[in-house]
Order: sequence, then structure tokens, then C-alpha cells
Amino acid sequence: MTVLVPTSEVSEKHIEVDGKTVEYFEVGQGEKTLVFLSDDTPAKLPTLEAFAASGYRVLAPRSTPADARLLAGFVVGTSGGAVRLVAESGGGASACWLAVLHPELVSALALGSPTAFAADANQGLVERLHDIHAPTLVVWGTEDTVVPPEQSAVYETNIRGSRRMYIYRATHDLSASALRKFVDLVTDFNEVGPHNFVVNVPRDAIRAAERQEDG
Amino acid sequence: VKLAAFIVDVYDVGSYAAVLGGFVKHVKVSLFSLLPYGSIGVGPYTWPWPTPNEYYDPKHGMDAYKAWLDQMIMADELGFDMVATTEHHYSPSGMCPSATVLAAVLSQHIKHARIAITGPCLPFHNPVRLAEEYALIDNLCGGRLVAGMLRGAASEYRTYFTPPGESHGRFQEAAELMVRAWTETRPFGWEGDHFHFREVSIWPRPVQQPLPLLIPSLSEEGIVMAARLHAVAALAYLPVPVAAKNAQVYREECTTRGWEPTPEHIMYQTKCFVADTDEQAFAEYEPILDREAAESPRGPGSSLVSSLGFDTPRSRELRDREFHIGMGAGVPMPKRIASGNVICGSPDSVFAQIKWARDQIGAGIMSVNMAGALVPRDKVTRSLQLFASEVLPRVHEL
Repeated sequence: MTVLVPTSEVSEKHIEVDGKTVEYFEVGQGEKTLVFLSDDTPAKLPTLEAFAASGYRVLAPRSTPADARLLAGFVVGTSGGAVRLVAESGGGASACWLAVLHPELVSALALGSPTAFAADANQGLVERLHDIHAPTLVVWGTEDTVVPPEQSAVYETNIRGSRRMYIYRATHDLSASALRKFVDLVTDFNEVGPHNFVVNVPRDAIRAAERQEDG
Repeated sequence: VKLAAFIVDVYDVGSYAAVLGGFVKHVKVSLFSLLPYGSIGVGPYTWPWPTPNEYYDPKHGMDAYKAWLDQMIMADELGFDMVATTEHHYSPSGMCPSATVLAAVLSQHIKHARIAITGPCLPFHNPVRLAEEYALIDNLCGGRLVAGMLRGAASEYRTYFTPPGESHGRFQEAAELMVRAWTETRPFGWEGDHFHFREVSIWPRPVQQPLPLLIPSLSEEGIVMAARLHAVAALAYLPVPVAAKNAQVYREECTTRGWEPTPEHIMYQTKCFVADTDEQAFAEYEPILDREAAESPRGPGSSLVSSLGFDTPRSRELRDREFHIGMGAGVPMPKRIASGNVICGSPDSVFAQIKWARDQIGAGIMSVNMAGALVPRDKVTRSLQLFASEVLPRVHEL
């Protein structure tokens, strides 16, 4: 269970990528970096703080770049390598394209009620989902009236090995309606991986078992 | 029919019946049984709940199960449209701790009728397991299952130490999860308030898509659930005028949600006893109802359970004010009938009472419970046969 206590203040920063300025928020001092994408990042600061409280260094562009190359430059420039990528609603398309086109930069992908198929620019995305190789979790609220919850099956079907979860009574805005559950699910998925995610064993026990196997 | 005229006088149903004129084209009939053990030989029939099972005689119990199965098979052969199982615990008044096990038995014997599981108290159980069992039974019976979803009686929250304050929440969540388990074709996980699953992908799927649902609609919350899930609204053991009100609220709720229920979306269930004449039926059934009323099986703690969240204040008020009209001990049978609490009499009278209830409620399914805990088995059989031969064909033509 995640304890939602901010570990540090949210700071506003910027970085130059291919001659463009990308403004972003940063919070948390965890060793692992989590990049959060959304279409309304300033409204999601509690979400960033919650992920930071879960042990991540959290980075979130103020405006999610639609251009995958720009987003890739942002990830490399701020993190130097692969990150946990979490996207909610309108951030879903960019997250999927980044995972498709730059798989080396995405160690895990979590999509919260993505509206990835909404724009014309993303018409070809469904056919490319099978190119996503990062462990992927798809989370949807059962009360989502923006995108039917059943659309989650499209991701689960096309992204090999992905998992999908419904959060009961959550709306399209998972951060607003089910923040704790959303963050806990994503954190658990990131920590234990897609195979152990479906096993009801404490994380510590999973790590101990993995150490034993490695040994 | 004299008795029917009396009923109409009491309730002045003309206006409502007129609205429903021509509304119900064909009424279906279901047989329900609590599966009573029968007399345990000592003390009142309703022993303190739970009843110590030291009084259970396996031979007597096995006879009770055989009698129940015989009645259900007979109902199927005699043309009933549906037979129903239910779930109750710790009592000889209803030896049906697992509605799904009983339904699985029926699936191998009932050849024509639908099989309704008006049983599992969803808050008590693992909803995915229930979804699997329902789907399994729907396959076993060739797609004739009606999937009832119940919240359970207040006293029965003691059965498995289920928190009564979670009753509504667990019920609603379990129902939605079960529907999703039946309709989703790809694996999914569920993070709920009460239930948590990381992988759900049931085998088999139900034969029927969608699976017909049935939800008790005694309370406002039940009505909303039934309307939301397009379920049959089950109105059980309510006085007919109260059931008519609930049915109307249900129809309005469905309209608000953008769909129009058919008569077969409303089921009314009541006690029913048939004999050759009114006099004989009254003489035989009145003492039984008196004993049932005098020895009500409410276990200690029921009031506490009710006030702790099992009932909302509004539904408790409604029940206390209206549900028990004409149900006490010593109430003459004509008054019981006029109150709409029981159907009893000769085949002609029983038909008239069913027609009246149908007209009042607009129900397309009438469910009769003939096997009360104190009704001798031979009289249940006679009642069933009389009903099937002289009432059922006329009800079908309504």
C-alpha cells in the first residue's frame, strides 16, 4: 500500500530539445525515473506527488509533446535512458508512440484510460500496438463515460503480454476518482513485473524468491 | 367470481388496470420452493436461528430433497415456465445453502422450463466463483438459466460474519463484476472496494449473451440496480398494492435510463395454495399461515443488522409501514387475500387472484411458492396438480 505523503516540493524546470523548450514538473528523489504524460499536467500535481511518494523521481512535461522524437529527446535529456512511462487520458497516444518508436526508452508502460485513438494522427496506432514490447498495464474506470471501458480490450489484445485492470466506480479521470488505487496498481506492476503482478504474494517475498533464483 | 369482486372493491384498481389494458399478452409462471425440511417433530417449526442440527435426521432430510426434486420435475412436466432455487442457511425452513448446487441438479432433470437461481446472496460470496458457476449451469441446461442476484436477509449476515454495513456496496460491486465476467471476452483484472482480482477470464462463458438477470426490487436501491442492469425486477412477498407501486417506480427508472421494460421484466412472487374449494383451501392453509406469523423466524440481532446498514432508513420505513399489512397471526384468509399477501382458494379463485395481481402489477412472470415449511407434502402435490390443470392454462392465456 502506497502512503501518499509528498516527499518533496514540485519544481518547475525546462530543457531544450532540438531547439525547442520543453517545460516540465519534477518531484521526488527516487533512483528510478517515472515520466508522466497527460493532457492537463498542472491539474495532475497530486498524482505526481503520489508517484514520488512511492519512491520515484517523477518528471511530467507541462504539455505532452505529440512528436515522439521530441518526447524521446526529453526522456534522454532528463533521464539519460529508459524510464517508467505512465500516461493518463490524452497522454496515452504519445506514450504509445514512444513505446513503439523508441522501445529502448520505455522500461514499463502504464496507460490510464488512454484516448489514444481519438485523433486522426493516431489512426494507425492500433496496427502498431503489437510493436510495443515494454511490460504494459492498462487501467480503466468502470464509470468512464468518455471512452467505453471495453476499449481496454483493444490494448490488451494487441500489446503482447499486457495486463488490464478495471477500477470499480472510477471515472475517466483516474487521478481524480481513484488516485490511490491507480498509483498503487501502477507501482505494484512496475515493481514486480507483469508475471508476478497477477500473483497474490507480497513484493518482498517476490524479491526474495528472485534473489534465490539468481543465486 | 365473488372473491375477485371483493378484492377489486377493496383496492379500486380500475384506473391502474385500465392503463395496463392489453399490456400483458402472455403471463409466464414460475414455481419457487424454500426446500423445507418439514416438521422436526418437537417445538415450533421455526427454531431459534440458527437451528441446532442435532435435530437433523439424514433420512428425513434426504426425503425432503427427493420431494423437492419430484415437485420441480412435476412442475416442468405440467407446463410451468420456470422453476427456481434459492439460498438460505442454518434452518430447517430452507435447506438450500447453495442455490447453484441445486440449480445444477435441476439442470439434469428439467427439460423445458427455465431454471432461475434466485439465490446466492452476493455479499457473502466470491463473485467470480459465482459467475463461473452460473455460466457452468447455463451450459449444463442448454441456455435456460435466469441469473438471480440477491442481497440476503438481514439475519443471514450472521451466517458468514459478513459486515451488514457493507451489504449494499458488496452487492452492487459483485453484480457489476459478475456481469463483466460474463460479457468480457479478454482477461481483465478488478480493483474494487470489496473485491480484488488480477486476472478474470471465466470458462465456460454463458450460453446466453446477455444472460437474463433477476434482481429483487423490494427497495429503492434494488429497483435502481435492476433498471441499471436491465434485469427482471423481482417483487417477492410484497402486498400487491406495494408491488404495483414498486413496479411503476421500476418502469419509470428504466425509462429514465433510456429503455422500456416488457412485462417479462417484472416478476411477482407470493405464497399460493390451491384446493378443490375456497372453504377447503382456507381451512387447510389459514392455520399454517397463523403458525408462520406467530413463529416468525427472525433471529436475534436482525434489528441491529438492519440498522447498521443492511436497510436504508427509507426502505426500513417502507417495510415497517407497508410490507406486513394483513400478514399477522389471526388475520382471516379473505383479508389476507384482499391485502395481496397470499393467493389461496379454489382454482377459479386462484385464477382470479392471479389475474388481479397481474393487472395491478403489470407482471409478466408470476412466481408461486406452494411449499411452505408447514404445508404437508401431499397437499403441496395436490395444490401443484390443481394449479397446473385448472389455473396454469388460463394464466398462460392472459
